[in-house]
Amino acid sequence: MTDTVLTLDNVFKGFDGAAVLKGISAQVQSGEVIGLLGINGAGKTTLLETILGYALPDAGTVSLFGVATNVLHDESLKHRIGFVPQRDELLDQMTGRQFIELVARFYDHWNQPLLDRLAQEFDVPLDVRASKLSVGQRQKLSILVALGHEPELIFLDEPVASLDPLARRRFLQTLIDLVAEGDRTILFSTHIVSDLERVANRVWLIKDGLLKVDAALDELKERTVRITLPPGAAVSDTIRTEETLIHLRHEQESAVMVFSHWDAARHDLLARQTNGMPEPQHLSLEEIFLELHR
Amino acid sequence: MTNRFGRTLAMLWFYLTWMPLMRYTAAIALLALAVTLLLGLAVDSVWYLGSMVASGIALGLPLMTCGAAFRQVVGNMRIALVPKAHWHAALGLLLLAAITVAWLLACYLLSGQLEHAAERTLDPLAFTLRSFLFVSSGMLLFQWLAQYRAGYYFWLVFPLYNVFAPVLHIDDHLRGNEPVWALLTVGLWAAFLFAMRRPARRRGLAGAMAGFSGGMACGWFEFGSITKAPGTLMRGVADSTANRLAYWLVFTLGMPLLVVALFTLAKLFRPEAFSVPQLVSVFLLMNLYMGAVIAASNCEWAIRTRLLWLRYPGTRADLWRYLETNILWFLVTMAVFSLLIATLIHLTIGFAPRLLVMYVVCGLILPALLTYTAITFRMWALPPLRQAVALIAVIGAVTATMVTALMYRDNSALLLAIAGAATLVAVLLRLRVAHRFRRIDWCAIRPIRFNRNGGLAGGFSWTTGI
Repeated sequence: MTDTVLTLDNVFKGFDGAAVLKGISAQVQSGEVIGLLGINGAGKTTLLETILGYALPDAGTVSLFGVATNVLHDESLKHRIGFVPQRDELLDQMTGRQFIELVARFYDHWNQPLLDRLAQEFDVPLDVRASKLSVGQRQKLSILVALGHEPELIFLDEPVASLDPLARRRFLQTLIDLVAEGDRTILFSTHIVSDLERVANRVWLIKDGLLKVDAALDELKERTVRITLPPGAAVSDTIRTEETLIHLRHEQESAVMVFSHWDAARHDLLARQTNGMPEPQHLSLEEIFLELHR
Repeated sequence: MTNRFGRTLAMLWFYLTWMPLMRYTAAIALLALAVTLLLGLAVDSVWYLGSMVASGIALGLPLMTCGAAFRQVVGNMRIALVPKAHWHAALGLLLLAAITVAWLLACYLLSGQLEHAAERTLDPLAFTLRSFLFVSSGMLLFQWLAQYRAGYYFWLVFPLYNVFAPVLHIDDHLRGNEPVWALLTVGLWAAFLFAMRRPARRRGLAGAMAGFSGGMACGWFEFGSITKAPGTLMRGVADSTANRLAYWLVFTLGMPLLVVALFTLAKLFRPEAFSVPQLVSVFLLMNLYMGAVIAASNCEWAIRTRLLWLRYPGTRADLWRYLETNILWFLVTMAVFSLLIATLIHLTIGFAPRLLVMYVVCGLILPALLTYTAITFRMWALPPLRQAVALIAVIGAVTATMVTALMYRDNSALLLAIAGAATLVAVLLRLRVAHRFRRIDWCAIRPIRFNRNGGLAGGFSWTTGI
């Protein structure tokens, strides 16, 4: 039995008259690791900050642990949440250790041994002022600070954007360990699809302010296929209007189609229409992402 | 040799063209000097006051901003890689100081030749040396301040000297002894250039710059801490109580004294210039002005409450109450500070009590008005330039009205009217801002982020956010 930790109900959000989120609805169950994908400006940060109450939705509701975020006040609920913002919010004059001590004072529970271990693994110099840390080191420190109180629900806004490949790998392993250790839920946005593939068990993809994809990673990869018709084969109107067809293009003389929900019925339909046996090609997550944005 | 000189000139050009702060400074200083020049055509009383204010701006503004520009330049790693870049940067600054003073002198002489030559006893050499010492030592001290806290307190010595030397007749010993002024100036520059011989990295200049970067409320100082976690996160380490004390000392005492010191330069033109009550009035006005500007810098606290949202118990309304408690404590402390100054002035020189009462009232109302005005601008995320222009307009309007009021003796009604209007506006703004705080999108209005090269230092970044 899993609990719903986050509910988005038809959430709209815009800035200066420009709509960024155009009616997003979703639910997150405890223990899920969700990767949030989208191109630059798609609204990933807006979505995360709206979920956390930093921005208030223009319409719709966002609930964390069953409480609307705009009236979130209970300290015990707030302390179940961890957040790594896209731009770190460290105090430049403080060393990492001082900043961690400062943040720790807010929480009743603080796992300092965990942070010491992670600082060593991530190679974060804790006795250096934040102003003298590199961008990557600051990002690592931000991640540490967000994990110190061992939150149940962790939000990370492009946490690996400035990390080197080694640090990225270590960070992802840490995420996997955290999920394995306890019943934690993670929602993180990223541009690096391969990272998401390694960690996430569910994918959200935002495009044009809408949640275009909300599916388990395996299911998404299983059901999304690309089919290349033989040269000269015509694409009938039935296929063109098929609702699961997300992209159709012509490469040289062949028609290339991408379907979001491939099943036996569609296989038969295509076979009839093209007088041949279609050979569906399953796509990687990165390919799916690219196909959706063509 | 030519190449070295060329580099210095290039650095001077770089100061004036590349850095926005310096561009604005140069433009305002040139405008002030042009006003000085034009005022030569005016009647004597107008020329006298106007040219003092204009030249005060022309000298004082570069003095405040050049140090910050220097730190930004030498802290830029790409520039630091140029051989002896810090030398050329310092020499470029020296050249800038020399040009400023020479230009000012030229304006004075030219304006004097037009109308007032017969009435003045200007000694160009004395004026040049003293002005140059004034500007260059100010620039140098501002440069060192970022590294040494003691420098800020030491800096107070100079305006204090300028104000009290004539009273204590110290100047009498130096008058006619211009080489002493020249030696003092050269000595200061030599000491500074000697200090520059050490590589910037070893000297820790880059580190100091990172701390300096913020502007008045966010990073001028690197000492002290706020012991309570919510306060530290919201106000930042740089805004600790100890730092606030330093702000007060430097900006509400030091700056006004510096302006008064500038006015004492007028005595080189006319020994009977500026009576003590006039100088006290100038000091009080500047003190109010600086206090209000510092109060306005608290607008950043409102934005930094974002950092408390997921950590501090309570709703947005509770956060606003916490924020406002901090603001009100600050305003009350400022008012008490004004009361102490007023009492001290009354006890020592028996200054008009009515004006001192008005000063204390304004010491409470003006910072409140400017605080809520600045928070309003930040909360509505106005573009940086519009924020700066609007804030300067508000400050300018208030200052101009107060100057007008203080220049004439029977001004109680006018000052009361100003105080009443300012209170009303502050209360209205407070209501608007409190409502806005409950709906604000923190993702659209983030705390100012200071870059590691120093940002726009010099006290303006709290409003421009550049």
